[in-house]
Amino acid sequence: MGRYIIRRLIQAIPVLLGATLFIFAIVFALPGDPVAALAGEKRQDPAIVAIIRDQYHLNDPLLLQYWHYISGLLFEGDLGKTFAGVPVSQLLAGKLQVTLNLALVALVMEAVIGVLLGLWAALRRGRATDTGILASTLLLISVPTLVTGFVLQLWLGVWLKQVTGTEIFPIAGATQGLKSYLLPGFVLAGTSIAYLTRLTRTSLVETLRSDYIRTATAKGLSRRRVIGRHGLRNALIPLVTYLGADLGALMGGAVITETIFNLPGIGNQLYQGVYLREQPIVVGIVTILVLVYILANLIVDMLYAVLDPRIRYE
Amino acid sequence: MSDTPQVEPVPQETRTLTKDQVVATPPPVKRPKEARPASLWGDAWHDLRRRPMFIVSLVLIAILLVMSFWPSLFSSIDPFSARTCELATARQGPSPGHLFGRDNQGCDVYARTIYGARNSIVIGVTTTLITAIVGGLLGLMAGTRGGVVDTVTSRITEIFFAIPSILGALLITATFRDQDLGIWIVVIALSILAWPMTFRIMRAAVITARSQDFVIAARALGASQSRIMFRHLLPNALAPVIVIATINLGGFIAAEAALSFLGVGVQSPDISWGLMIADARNRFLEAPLPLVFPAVFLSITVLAFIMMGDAVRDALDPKLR
Amino acid sequence: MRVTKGAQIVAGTALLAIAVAACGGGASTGDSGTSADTPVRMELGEPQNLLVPSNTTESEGAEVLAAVFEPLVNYDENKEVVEAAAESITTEDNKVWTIKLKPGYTWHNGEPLIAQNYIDAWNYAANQDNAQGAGYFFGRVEGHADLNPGEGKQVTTKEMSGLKAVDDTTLQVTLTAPFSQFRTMLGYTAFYPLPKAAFGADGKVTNEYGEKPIGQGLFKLDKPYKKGTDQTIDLSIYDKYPAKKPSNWTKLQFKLYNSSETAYNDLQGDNVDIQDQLPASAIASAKTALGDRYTDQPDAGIGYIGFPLQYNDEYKDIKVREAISMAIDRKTIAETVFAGTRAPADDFINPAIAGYRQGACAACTYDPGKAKEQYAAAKGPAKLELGYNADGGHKEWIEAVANNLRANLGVEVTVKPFEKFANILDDLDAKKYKGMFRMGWAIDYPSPENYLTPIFSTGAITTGSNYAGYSNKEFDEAVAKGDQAATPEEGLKLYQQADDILIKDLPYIPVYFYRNNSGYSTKVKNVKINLLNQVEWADVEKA
Repeated sequence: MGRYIIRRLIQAIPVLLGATLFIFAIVFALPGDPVAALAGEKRQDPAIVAIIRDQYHLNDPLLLQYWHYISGLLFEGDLGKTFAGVPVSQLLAGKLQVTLNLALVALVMEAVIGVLLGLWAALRRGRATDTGILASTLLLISVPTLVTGFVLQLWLGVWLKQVTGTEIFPIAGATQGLKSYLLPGFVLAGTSIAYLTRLTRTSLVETLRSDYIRTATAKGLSRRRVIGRHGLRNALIPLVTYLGADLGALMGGAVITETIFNLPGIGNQLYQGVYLREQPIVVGIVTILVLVYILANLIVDMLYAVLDPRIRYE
Repeated sequence: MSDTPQVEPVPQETRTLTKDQVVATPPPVKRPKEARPASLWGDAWHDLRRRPMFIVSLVLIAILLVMSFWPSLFSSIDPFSARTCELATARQGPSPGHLFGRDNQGCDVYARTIYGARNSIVIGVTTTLITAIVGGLLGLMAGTRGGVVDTVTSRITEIFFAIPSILGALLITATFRDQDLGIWIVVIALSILAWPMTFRIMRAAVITARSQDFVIAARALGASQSRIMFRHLLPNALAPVIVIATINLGGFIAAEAALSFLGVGVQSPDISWGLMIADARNRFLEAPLPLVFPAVFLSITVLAFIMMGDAVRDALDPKLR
Repeated sequence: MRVTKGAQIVAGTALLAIAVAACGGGASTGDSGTSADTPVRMELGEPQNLLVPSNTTESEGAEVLAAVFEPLVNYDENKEVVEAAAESITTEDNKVWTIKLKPGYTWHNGEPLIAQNYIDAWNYAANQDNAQGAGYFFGRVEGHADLNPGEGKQVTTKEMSGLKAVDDTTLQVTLTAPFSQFRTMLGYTAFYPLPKAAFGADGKVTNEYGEKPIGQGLFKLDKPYKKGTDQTIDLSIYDKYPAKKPSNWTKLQFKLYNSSETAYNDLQGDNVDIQDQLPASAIASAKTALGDRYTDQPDAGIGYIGFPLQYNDEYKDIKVREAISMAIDRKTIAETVFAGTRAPADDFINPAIAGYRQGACAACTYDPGKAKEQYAAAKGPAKLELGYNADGGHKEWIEAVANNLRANLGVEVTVKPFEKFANILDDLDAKKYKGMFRMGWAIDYPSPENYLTPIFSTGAITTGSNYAGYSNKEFDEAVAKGDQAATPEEGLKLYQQADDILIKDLPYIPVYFYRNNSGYSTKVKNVKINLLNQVEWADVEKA
């Protein structure tokens, strides 16, 4: 197992390097001089521009700049500094927390709602409930986050507040603890809920058809026990994969949700970073997201072994 | 089907599932039919014609196509003409002649919504074609050749998978912003990020097909590499690619809206639903309609394509029935 | 130029309009007692840089620094300059200025405030090696050129020859040329002094100082401000502050928001006490929801549409520019697009500043009929292009102007978004972009001269913000005369003469004046916002 983890981590290195280099090169190619743009609508003094560019190694060729960055990251754990002189790690710490909160709330909603709906549909396979659930997942997949976000903000945030007189779902900001994440969490989870519902249903239906379930039933076990002990446990494996892989996707896809609900997360920060061409911020965020993606996948694979004793990693 | 092992050491590719892979399940297995010898395709078509979901989506898509190419059939107002906008009437509600009301610039929301269909459809279809062709061919190559080619391309796709797509697209569009590429900027960005998906599906399907008897037989008979690739492997691996392509189409349309909403996609004076949503957002709480109408059209369009993808998947992949 | 939030001439320094409205941060809500210990809470956007006066050219950092520092001069309700940390500021020839410091001011670390503190700070700010954003403020001081030899050249001295400490309380400043408005400039952030403790061993201002600046003003920071992590900046009153203090409270808290919409929600719930610029979407409701806790006053910013006069002859004919100006329906734009957070512009000098004359610009009146006629007669171009920077929330009004021009002049108008204002500048410098462009100006110091020299003088083509490349000898002379005027009144008159030349020539089209729309909670009263968009803290009372 240990050796397997090490091998996976080594395999992850080219992915991490490739992804950061790709992003680094793109930001490098972004038109316009980030330092000149710092002065807003005033013409920046060229002497000052030259000095700042020098400080941030901006005059170096791409690969050298990348080397400065990646060596700082690998050897000193340094994500660099923004043009305001603030360490990127400090800048991102708070924002990462917000995005992580959002993604976790979404993940929990996704897991609970998705599995329950999927289970329900699988047990009522072919009946009206099943069809209804499948149809609503289709709807959930089709309506873009952009739309669900605004619609729910209007209905559950604004109108509900007008009707009830109290703010049940805050429509903006991350200032009210868990409460502020409920609505955006659901919006972010929307598509994933639908996929997970379908996946649970499919997986469970497949499992319930298999021989060992037939055996268990033949043994005279109760239906509840057959489904709970034998069916669900085996059907869980693809679900775990999906959930694990989805954490990274949720964090990376949060930019629209964060924009709609005014959440100060890394999606927003990245968006601003792109506009200000703050290379360290942009690359730093992507690096974090790539790491989350790699680690989540690794953990998922570890979980396999736990869930299914037939899988062994060497 | 129950005799296939439920759990096997999952290959790397399927372990890191993506959303679309979940929908597009493993390559299809031919269903033996007793009555008449039917191909997978003939079977699928026969099946599709009887699915109400498919018919509904087909009708919707047909309407959308007409709307994209002859928008004037639906709206007598030309939204590109400045005279139809009157700032003083901004955010007015629906009235005769202006069914959906007016937006922040005092322009007719209905006309703009109708004219917005074209960019969505064009971007969705071209991106789908590009990713299917590029990703498909590369996947076919990697799957057939194996070895170094396979390892290198697979690692490259992993890099793209690791980059969150919206963020990546944000960066790419911002980079090409000065090139005056119009809506094609969106096609380029989405294609760069989405081809690995098709690549993986194609590669996995090819690898499965490669070890099947008829391929081994063909190889034994001395068929050339390219003949095996295009005559034997491709047709057998095509179905999952087509499934993923139809499903992705809806996703691309949604992604275009998201990028335009973020200000890096389609730019004014071009019309896009995402752009309309972005423009209406500032005053959304005062006047929701200019945001709601394009949002509804966007959702219906995505729904139509995803419904079609769903139906095609069910037809080509009978295992799930 | 100074970027103010009120003015939202944000450009590259701030974010996209969406992002501005988007990423509400915020702190945990404070408790709701009314004892002297609960802080007065003010909404603030995240300061762009560390809190160093010479590198702070945007409104949010300036707001914090204004609470921590006492400026040399302040501006009263009649827009007049009054001494604050200065006892007197005198000159005989507008060239050599003597500043006497008021006794009693000390730094928050206990050291006395001396004239040398000003010299240290100003020399540091002006030195190009320190790359300070506000260095250009010292451009008129003798010796500034020595500290700014230009790109790639070595700075050989550390001091400007024009600065001299006569004694501990007297500072003498020599300018390169007479400038009657110098006293007016001194209220700005860039002119704050720095204590010895600000500088590290290498002679540079330390990062620690930037996180917890030591000032000589009303408030001191309770703890260092960690940008990015901290959601509040907490301050308390400095006991030894010698001037007027608030009557019934001692603590001030800046709460950081990235979305003014979120902040407005908090304001209505009494979770924040002062918001100095309400979002346009909230104006309509604020008038009724806040009642007399809503204020609306002129703000010194101006929005223009500019022409690349230097190399595109299509716009050379004044008649064409006048016609374009008359085709713009400023009033509807101000009301519909901006919900009254802007007012139609009718002069090159803003109503917040002495010297403004209502209706001075005749061609700024909406007259579509005359516009069309005159445009056709002057054979204006059949295609117009209108560029703007996409990151500052300008799209909506630019589109509205484009629609005006299309409808009223019968021409084709394309709207071109640039990523940042700096990209427009690049293209203008390269003579690549031939269309019209938007431009905004918020003042560096409250003098009518600041609307003239930096934007329209011939000298500003290379070093300032004269992006149109407008050059008129008559105008340059009129401004120079104002600079040398013996009295402010005389200066005002001369500057207005220069303004008249601009109105006649119309190198830019003034479109709107900014307005300041602020609101405050039920927990505070007597909130006044001064000419610099900063709150007069000593006057604020808890209700």
